[in-house]
Amino acid sequence: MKNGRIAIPSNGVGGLDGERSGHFGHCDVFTFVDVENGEIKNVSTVPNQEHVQGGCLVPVNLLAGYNVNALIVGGIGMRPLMGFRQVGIDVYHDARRIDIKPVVEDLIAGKLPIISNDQVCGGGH
Amino acid sequence: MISILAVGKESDAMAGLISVIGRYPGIEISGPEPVDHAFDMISTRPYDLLIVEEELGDMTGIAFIKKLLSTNPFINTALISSLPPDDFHQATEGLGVLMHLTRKPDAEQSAILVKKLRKVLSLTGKLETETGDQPS
Repeated sequence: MKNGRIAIPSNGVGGLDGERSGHFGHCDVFTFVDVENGEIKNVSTVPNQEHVQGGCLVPVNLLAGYNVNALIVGGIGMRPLMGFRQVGIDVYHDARRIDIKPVVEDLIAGKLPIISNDQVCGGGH
Repeated sequence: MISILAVGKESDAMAGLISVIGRYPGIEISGPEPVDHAFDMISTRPYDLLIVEEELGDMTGIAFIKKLLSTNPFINTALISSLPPDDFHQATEGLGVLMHLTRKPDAEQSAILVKKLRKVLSLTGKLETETGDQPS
């Protein structure tokens, strides 16, 4: 990724040196990493909204409102994935690493895969 | 105005559910409509919620919701199902179903469904507030 805003579901206060949340819908905050010409220019955080059953599209609306271009998840359900695709946010997948910084660096370097339909969470796939 | 469409066959249970929910101010509910007609209606109008029967004849309610997600992930769904809660959760995880309704939803379930829907619509900015009037 050369330019754009990356969102990472995060635990606690988030930030580039923070830890990722395993479930984007339940994260405490979203860490935003703004990338210009392939370099990190700014890091900020936004609190997640309240999570309710069936409210999977709430974070989709939230991140679309902040002009996010890419999201890195450890897991995601089919409905929010379809929602992110519909609003033009690319969803990348890394289910192994807890730290935010290395997955962001990999995304910028083009080393992180886009999530596929068979990697969604739950029995609903 | 909140728009709800019921998808399925005519039945006493569905008729009762539609009657109860239709009494809530600010909510418009129609149906039940068969699958093909439902997809036609969805393509021409932005429904806030679909209430889906467990069996729809040529497909299951879960299969209908999966098909819906591929084109209309922003539409909320509630699914009528005879599955036990744990099995329902397993079968629908990731599909973002707002509520599991029993085979014969009562007024209490209708009230919970309306409350959940208003909550989600307020969080997504469709409604200014999650609170609303009770049925007339």
